[in-house]
Amino acid sequence: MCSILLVEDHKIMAETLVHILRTKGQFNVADVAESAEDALEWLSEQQADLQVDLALVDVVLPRTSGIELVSMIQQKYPGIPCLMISGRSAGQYVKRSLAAGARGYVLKDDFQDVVKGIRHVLEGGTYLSEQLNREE
Amino acid sequence: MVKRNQTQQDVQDEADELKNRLAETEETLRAIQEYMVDAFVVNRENGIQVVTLNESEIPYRMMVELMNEGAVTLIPDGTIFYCNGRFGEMIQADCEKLIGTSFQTLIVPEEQDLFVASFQDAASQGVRQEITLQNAKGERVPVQLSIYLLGPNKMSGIAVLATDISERRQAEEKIRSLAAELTRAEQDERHRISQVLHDDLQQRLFAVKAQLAFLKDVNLSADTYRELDQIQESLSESVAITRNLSIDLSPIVLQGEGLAEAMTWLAFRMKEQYGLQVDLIANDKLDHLDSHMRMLIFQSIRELLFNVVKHAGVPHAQVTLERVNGRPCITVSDNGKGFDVEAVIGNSQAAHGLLIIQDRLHLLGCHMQLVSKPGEGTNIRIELPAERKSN
Repeated sequence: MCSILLVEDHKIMAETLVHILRTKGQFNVADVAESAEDALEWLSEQQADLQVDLALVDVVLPRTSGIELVSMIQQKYPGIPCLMISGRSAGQYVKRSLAAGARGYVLKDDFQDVVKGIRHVLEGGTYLSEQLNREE
Repeated sequence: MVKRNQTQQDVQDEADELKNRLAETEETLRAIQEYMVDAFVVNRENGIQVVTLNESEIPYRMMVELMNEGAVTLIPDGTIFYCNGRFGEMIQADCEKLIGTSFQTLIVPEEQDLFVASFQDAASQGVRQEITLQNAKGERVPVQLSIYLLGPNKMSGIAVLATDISERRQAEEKIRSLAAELTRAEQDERHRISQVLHDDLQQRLFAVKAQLAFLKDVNLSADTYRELDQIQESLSESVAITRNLSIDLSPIVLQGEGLAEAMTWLAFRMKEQYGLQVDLIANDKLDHLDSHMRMLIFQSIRELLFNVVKHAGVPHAQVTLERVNGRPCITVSDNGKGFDVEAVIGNSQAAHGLLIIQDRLHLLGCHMQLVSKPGEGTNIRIELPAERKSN
């Protein structure tokens, strides 16, 4: 079973995503971090026991942004692919996320699309929400 | 009148006497005009009287010396011939030392050409000009000058009245500062509300949508599924409204991008939301604007484009960013219905939105010019103040 690190600061949103990942995606949620700092701390604590197949990262986080976190994860843990998740569909967020090293961008209001995006990235591909493709 | 009995000699004598009296009168007038006499003696019915010319000038001299404005007289080449004490105070120099100096040298270098032009204009009509003097300490003194001829031409002398407008300038600067503070506070509040909408309300709506989707996995009746679909559709609409409201309150594009990029984004939104095709011509990107001025200009242009949608009756508008005579300008124009500017601006209800835009721009030193006629489209130009440092 694939393990997901979820980085989401909104409590209700995080609970909903955990439920979706477990029931719809059949994924294991390794941890839920409320900030970029918490996520990095958790990752460094795992050391040799680190078993994370993908990081699902919210764009908007307190203090350090999700985009900056993706950049740091790519530097320190290049084996962990990152998928951005957000309510914001603005093109500049998508571009900046991909430039930081994210393997895709999915929108929160379509959870089937979120699960689909995770599966694509786990298989080695990149993924953009269908709504983003339509807006472009 | 020549009497019949007068001899030729008598006539000659009379003529000579008249000539002498005329010459004496002309000499007296010349002496008075050239300030060579202070008084003259007249023989009146009640006896001999001495009339002093200087006495009639005393009230006027006192007025000039005591008034709160600086008074200077110049000779045609701009040299100071006289100045009152108040002017000396403004320049912080003795009046005696100022006499014989060029008035132009008392003006800050970058405005001297402006004064020269006004000085030349005064030859044909009185001129008013705001200018900056430089006092003996090197400090700047903003003044309003009234320049006018003392007679039919410059040879009569040129009078310059200087009114210190330092306090007025300080008050204007204070108002601008307060207006900027108000704009800043408003932008911050809009941003805060935008954040709440996005970071909290929108997230909750997403979560509710997802939870509703879970219910679809349960065996429910067809009617219940239909209701669930309707609820989900309503929620999607709510999410869209929240998202649009969040964006409109605090457009992301204004946080870090320049005005030209913001206008590009605005054009896209106007097309997407209202079907208005906005052509953007950026002859100058106007990147120097600080964030609050940028936000105010953005909001103003957005309002003006809304007016095109609501009133112009055409699906097309143009926004131009440029410099005119060195001043940054943004123009919104359309070929729509147009309107009677005087009639609309005179009606505070009809012009409510326009007047608010105009007032807010004016508080930050901008000037809005409206040109429109019924049937001939509308052109609205916003002139910005001189360069302000970007932050």
